[in-house]
Amino acid sequence: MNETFLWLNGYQWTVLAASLSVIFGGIGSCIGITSAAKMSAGVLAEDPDKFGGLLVLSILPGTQGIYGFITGLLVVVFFGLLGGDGKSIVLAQGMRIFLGCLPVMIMCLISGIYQGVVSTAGVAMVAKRGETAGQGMILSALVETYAVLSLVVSLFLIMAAQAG
Amino acid sequence: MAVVKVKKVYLIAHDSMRETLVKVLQKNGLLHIANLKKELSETELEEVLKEFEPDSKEIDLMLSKVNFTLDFLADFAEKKKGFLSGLMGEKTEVEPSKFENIQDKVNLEKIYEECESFEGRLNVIETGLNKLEATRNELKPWMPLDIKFMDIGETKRAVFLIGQVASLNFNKLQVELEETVPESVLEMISKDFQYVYVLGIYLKDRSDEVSQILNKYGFQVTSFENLDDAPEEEAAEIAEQIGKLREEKETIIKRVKDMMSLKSDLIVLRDYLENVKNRVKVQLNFAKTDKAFMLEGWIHEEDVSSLENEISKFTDEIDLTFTEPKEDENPPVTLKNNKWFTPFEIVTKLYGFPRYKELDPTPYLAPFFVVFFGICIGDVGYGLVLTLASLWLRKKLQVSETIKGFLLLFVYGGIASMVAGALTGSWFTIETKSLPSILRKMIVLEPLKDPVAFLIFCFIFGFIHLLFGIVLEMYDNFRKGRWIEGIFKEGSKLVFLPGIVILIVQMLAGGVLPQALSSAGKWMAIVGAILIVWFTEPSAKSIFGRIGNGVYGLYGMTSFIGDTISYSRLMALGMATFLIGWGINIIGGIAKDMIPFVGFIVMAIILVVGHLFNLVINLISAFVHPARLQYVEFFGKFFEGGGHSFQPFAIEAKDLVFKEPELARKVRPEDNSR
Repeated sequence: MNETFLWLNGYQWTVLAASLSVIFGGIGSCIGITSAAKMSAGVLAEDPDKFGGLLVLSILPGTQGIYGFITGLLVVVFFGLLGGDGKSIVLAQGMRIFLGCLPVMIMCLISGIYQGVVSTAGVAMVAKRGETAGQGMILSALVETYAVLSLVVSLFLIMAAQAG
Repeated sequence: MAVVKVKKVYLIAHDSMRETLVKVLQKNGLLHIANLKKELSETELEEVLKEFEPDSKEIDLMLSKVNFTLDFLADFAEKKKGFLSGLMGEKTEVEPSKFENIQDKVNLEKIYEECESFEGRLNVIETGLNKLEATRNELKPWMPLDIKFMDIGETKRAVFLIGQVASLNFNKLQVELEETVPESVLEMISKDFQYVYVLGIYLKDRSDEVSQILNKYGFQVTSFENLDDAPEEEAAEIAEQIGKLREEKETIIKRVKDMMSLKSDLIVLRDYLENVKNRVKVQLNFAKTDKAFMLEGWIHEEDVSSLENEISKFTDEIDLTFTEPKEDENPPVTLKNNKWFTPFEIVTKLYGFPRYKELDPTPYLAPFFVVFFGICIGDVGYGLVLTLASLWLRKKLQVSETIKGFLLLFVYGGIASMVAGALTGSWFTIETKSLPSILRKMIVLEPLKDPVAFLIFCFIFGFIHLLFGIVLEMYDNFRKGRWIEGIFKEGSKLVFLPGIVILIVQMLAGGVLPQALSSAGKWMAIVGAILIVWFTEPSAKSIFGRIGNGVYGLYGMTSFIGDTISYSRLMALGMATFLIGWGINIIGGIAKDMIPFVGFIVMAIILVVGHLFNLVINLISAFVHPARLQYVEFFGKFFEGGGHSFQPFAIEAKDLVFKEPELARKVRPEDNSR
């Protein structure tokens, strides 16, 4: 029950998993959106009519933060962190939960940043030719694929950890 | 349901007819004019450009005047464009007849000159006001002074002087001055937290010593060069001037606001002038001799007779020739689809136009796109909101056909989302177990309870999508008469892939499949593999080359694994919608429980804002990801693209929507979505 690994017990590892999923996904999205939105602001100063396309391009790296949020929320709900149930999580299960969240933590952090880079390039493309916004979005979504895949695996790993 | 057939047009006519003819062509908007001068050298091109310069210069000047006036007026507009209207690029509605005669109706010169003089005067007033305000501020500390400014300075024997000194130094200054030059007065007029404002009077004879002391303590002499009277009177004067200028400014602004009604006319004029400019610009594409000119273009086959008709109406001295496109040419492409499928052309165009001889993928991608979209949103409530909002916007906003198509796409997607939501038990992302039992009975698959089944469903759907792509390639080969290649090259894949899938299922799930099916799968895979190896490169020179290429082709089949797995995004996005919405519901519930009395209101706000946010975020994903599945996974199997769009030389309306549908049809559609 009170077994610990690196000073944390099962319950604390579970909380850490939920927290870090949200934190890392959020960081990835923040950095990604910042780089694209900054560039969009510059383009908008010249040509405010392009707002629609630029908004979508800038918001695309935002999904990673949401995937992190979903993962974190699932951990909170599935393992009863809201009520008292979570206290009884044993170390082995806590570690499984933490490791299950790793794909989302790492992939959302990294893909968020790089999707931001592609989105920024898309913004530059739209600045030159307004009709290319759609193509920019598709290119940006190519990067997101791997965040989606990490979410799929993390969801399964969390569900498996819950099943026992 | 395909690419519209076109014919090549050559038109030769006498130079005197050029202007009229160009006008007629623009009005009818049937011709895609190609460039006959592509091969011109740089210097030749310059010559041509020079020839058109005078005309286009005049129009450019007028256009810049219109733009100036519009920008000027926009600064004073009371109502800015709405957020949605701006996002969608709302347009101004106009009668065609008004469009034609706008140049006579609007007195551009007068309006422009008025606006220019207003702007100039406003600038002068603004500068004047700034200056006066500054003086007024400088005067403030001197208000108690009751000496006229013109009396400050030197008299025969004395010096009057005003200035400021840092408060810290004032006392020391006063003391030192008293000691060294007793026959002097230093009177404090006023002070603020930093400075003391001082009037100094001393004898002229001692002015050297006094200035030395003053300098020592950092005394700054103040002078009001243009002011004569006492500060109080001057201040009153300034206030009066400021009042006058402000009044004048108000009058001008009021007159500018009266001109606001001209704005829509000016927008029409701008678009009109752009079209006149286009008429000049298009002539750059013509080939010319001394007396005649020639143009080359493309026209829809169905429009040939109406073009002939229109032209014969005003002259018969024009030589019109129509020919079929040649093999090596790349004619411009127009997509034509059943009206239900038309909105999906947006998805195709986003990728690029098909080549002239290629298959138009629009009708084939349409059903899959809608279903994918539906899975990604996957909620009855969201689907309903999306459908109603899109229908409402389509009705309310005056937007381009492209945006209207987009909105219609969302209507379809919304309906698909409702179906998907009902089947997966997602109603405004309310937890499944608290749904009424009648809704629960409609559930076919509950993603949260059985995510694996949902994932497998997505894989199956994706696999069908991929196979359909191969079938289309086969069909494309048949269409081009390549029967053998179609049957064996694509057919072998159609045998091999399902066989492999059966084997994989057999491996993973053991004895789920009947014996007959699994052995059929085994043989399909074996036969398919042999066929693939043999028919991947039938034209290879040696048998080894052929088999080598074939084995490589067989290896290429592994890409189908990745392609199929890519469809797992549908599951992830569908569940994401539900889970975020669920999170919002939980947060809303907590707010209701924790906050006394107003909890309900807080919950309502959280729910409305949160769900709207969720819908918008997922809407973007639900468009982008299914589109990617079409482009990367589906198009890769059969579609090349690389065509260019048919853009008739026609009346272009950037900011206008024509009231009369007949003319609206001819207005050149925008290439792509924004």
